[in-house]
Amino acid sequence: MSSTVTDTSTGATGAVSRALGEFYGSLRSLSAKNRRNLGIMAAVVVLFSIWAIATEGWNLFMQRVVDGVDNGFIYAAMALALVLIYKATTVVNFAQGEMAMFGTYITFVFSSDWGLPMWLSILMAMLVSALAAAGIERTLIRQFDPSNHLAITIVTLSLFLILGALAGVIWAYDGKGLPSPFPKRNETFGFLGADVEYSSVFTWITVIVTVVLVTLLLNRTKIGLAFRAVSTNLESSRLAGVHIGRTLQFGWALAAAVGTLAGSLYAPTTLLTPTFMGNLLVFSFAAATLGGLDSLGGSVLAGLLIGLIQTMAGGYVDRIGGELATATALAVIVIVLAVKPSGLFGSAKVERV
Amino acid sequence: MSRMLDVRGLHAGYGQSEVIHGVDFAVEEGEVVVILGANGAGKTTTLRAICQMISTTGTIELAGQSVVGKSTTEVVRLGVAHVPQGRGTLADLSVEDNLRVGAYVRKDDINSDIQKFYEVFPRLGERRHQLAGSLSGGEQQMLAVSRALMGRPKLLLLDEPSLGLAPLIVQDLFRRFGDINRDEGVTMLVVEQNANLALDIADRAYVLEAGEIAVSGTADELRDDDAVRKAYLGY
Amino acid sequence: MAMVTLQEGSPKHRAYVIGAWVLAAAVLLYVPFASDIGFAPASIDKAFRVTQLNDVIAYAVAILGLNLVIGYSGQLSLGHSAFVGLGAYTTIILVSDHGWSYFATLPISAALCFSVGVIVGVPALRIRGLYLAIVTLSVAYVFPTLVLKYESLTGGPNGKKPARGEGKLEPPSWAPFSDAGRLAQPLWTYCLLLGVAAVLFVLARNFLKSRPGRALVALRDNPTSAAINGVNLPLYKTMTFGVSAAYGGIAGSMLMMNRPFASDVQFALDLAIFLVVGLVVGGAGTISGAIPGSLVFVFVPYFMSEWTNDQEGMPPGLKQITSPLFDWLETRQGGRSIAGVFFGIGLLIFVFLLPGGFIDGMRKLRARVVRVVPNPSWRRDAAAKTAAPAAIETDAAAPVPNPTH
Repeated sequence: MSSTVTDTSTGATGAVSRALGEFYGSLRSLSAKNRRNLGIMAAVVVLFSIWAIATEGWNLFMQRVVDGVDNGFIYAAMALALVLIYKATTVVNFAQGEMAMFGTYITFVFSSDWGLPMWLSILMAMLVSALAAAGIERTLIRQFDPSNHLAITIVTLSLFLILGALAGVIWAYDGKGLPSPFPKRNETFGFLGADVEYSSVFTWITVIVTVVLVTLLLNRTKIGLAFRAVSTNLESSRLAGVHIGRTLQFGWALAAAVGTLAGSLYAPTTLLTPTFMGNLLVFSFAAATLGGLDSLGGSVLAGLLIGLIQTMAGGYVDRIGGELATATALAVIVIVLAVKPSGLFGSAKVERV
Repeated sequence: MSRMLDVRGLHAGYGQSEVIHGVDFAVEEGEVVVILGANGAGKTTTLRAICQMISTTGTIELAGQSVVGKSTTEVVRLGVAHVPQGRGTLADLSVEDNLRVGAYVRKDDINSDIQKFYEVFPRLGERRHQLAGSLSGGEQQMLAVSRALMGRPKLLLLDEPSLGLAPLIVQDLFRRFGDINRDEGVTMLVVEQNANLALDIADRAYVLEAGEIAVSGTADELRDDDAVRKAYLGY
Repeated sequence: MAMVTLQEGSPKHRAYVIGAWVLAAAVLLYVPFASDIGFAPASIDKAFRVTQLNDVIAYAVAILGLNLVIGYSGQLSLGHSAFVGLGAYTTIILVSDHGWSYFATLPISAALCFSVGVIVGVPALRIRGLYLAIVTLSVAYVFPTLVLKYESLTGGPNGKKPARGEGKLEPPSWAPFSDAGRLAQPLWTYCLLLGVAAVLFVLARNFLKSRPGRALVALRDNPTSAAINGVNLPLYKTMTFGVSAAYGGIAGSMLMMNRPFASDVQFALDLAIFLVVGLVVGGAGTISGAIPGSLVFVFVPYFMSEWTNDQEGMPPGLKQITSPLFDWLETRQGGRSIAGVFFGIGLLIFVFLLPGGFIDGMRKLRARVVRVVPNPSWRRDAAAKTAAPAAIETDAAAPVPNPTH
């Protein structure tokens, strides 16, 4: 609970400790709500781990855990963007992946054409994406009433087409390599028998910090309050004098910035092409849904879970192998959703009639 | 007393169909005015028209300032608070956050006001960190009214506050509306079907029938009006 | 105000309706049988154009099926590409490996896709909105990987087609165009596909007018109150999913009748998204919207990329101005994808002009010319026909016998 965190501490350390407290608090309230589900999940994980260690040994197991966590954090970052935009529009934004892709190309332009350091390129690209998304919201989305889902869906489909094709025109379809923004690139250290890249650890930290910052932004600022209000009840927020347009614009900008960050963290692990977000988007979407769509911490956990399922299924089950690892991960998600339709950590909605 | 709300020749409706056909009424500063009427008489539409949530023609003046053609947000910022039918709770937000959203238009410190409403409605104080969606109907109505008042409105519009609540809770709620009007000096325009209770706290009342004002007068006059008694008071 | 007012059921109104149908039939017959097709640039081979029209018919069926789920039951499904693909592969495998005739495969495709659709629809019973989108998205995503995994059956990355000279739809000798050379086969396919599509459109129309159809719309508008009023929610949801998938499957089979070749990339997630584009362009919740939607789906990207190649039909003055842009694009490696940018911009302009979709826009346009007023004695019946949500909800709510029956 946020009330257990003291508000008197000041300065940078105070802010960080408050943020961590808040993050921890949200995890704790999750586990209170979902103790049974977490229990079942933990049992499955423990049994699987024992079997996995017994069959192919400890080191391989740990390596797969690390790889899974690695993927999972990237999924989590993109899932965060998806949750934000879903709350802002309540329609599926088909363009979210393309926006992140475009933002990543902007990072690429700053770093390779302008020669700026990677971390600065990413920050500047996040800013550019946020401004561009705010502009898109103002010119294309705000023209329609938020309840006109059909029109907004068409706009996002148009953006999907335009951004995808435009990236092809500008940057062509050959893959571009994007360097990692973190020091000690390609260097690894041993951890409990697994090789871990330093840059992976920095990526994890970045994602966690981002989640904490976004949580703080939503829970501690006036615009964050307005955003949460609008996404839960548009009409009442309007009656409270909230500027709906500006608030949703904030949501678009924030989501675009986070998406660009996710893309820029993901690109160094693969090649940057106009379609490189495809796979990431499917799994992030899955993570966002599995996380319950209204809980940021939940989507991080769900992202990790999906990353782990993917590497474990691909690594340990012979019949599945590489090609069907994806299918397996998705099948697990579908089953989980069928059992628990509001996601693992989402609050079940009670509908008053 | 100066005139808080002045409505003349109001027409309003949804799309092609007009629901309100030329209505005149007024609310003086500090008054509680009740609009009575059956289902579909146009009571809710009237309130929605005042907040410019639907297209309207005619004159609506708030403390001398015309609001027709303004956006809902602008009307709210002029000092109108509207508690919609069904209470419009921000279900996924905590009770305290609901109150903060209510004070969204204010720039000054709001913590003392939040404390005040926790004292007026202790139930809200006990549940301040709970999600608003988990409150009971009566608690949600208390929250909705508190949220509306957090913006320090000049005029409070209440749309069927008794809807779906147990009679005892409704009685308590209306007593508090009277208190708030007296203590805070908030002008109120209440739309109700429960005429008995509403007339108890009202200074004046209008009866709306099929989009037109059928009867108007002081609360006492309406209570004594035979037609009104038969139709709305049931004795 | 409308220029002409017609009373429903009056002779004039009947003439108006019949006239509209005759006009539609005339267009359908003119397009393939006219010696030259008006809208085609002269350089285009007519056989190719008819083949494209056949694609339009097939995709119209797919979009119609998708509309049952998205437009009428209000659930976002992104998995339709998988059903179209499943139908296509069913047909192509049966035709090329087992020597079946195309028509014999249609019921198999439909039944298979219906079953898979019902299975996918089962999670849909408990899942709404975005949660359903992810389930269907997964199906769309997984389908191509399954095609690649089971290479012996599907031909894997090389695709699947009948052996040379086999699996063709030859027109019978009595057909007037049986000696039309290369045109004969596409024209015959056109007739066959048109027949299949007509049956499917009529079936969909009747289904939506029936009790289950109205229940479906009630379900979309307010699931809770529909359920309270006795609409069997799980049953209708699953059935809709199944029927929608079956339409997708038949559409896939129809695609194979037209061009007997199936590959994994054809039925990837892009197809699902483009089907949604076609659907929203035509108009969600309309039957006839599938036709303009499908026309846009097939022709707009095609013409757009043709046009970006040669800018044919552009006034010379304007061409002077734009030629530097296109010359520059020529030099770019990915320059040709500018067509996608134009398509997207066109879609944006479209949504600003006709935010409710094509059919909705046409209805508004028509309303300015012709106004059809219901016959007073038919009032109740008409209310059900115009698909006003309120009317439907009350109809579905109370099992009142229809007064006309």
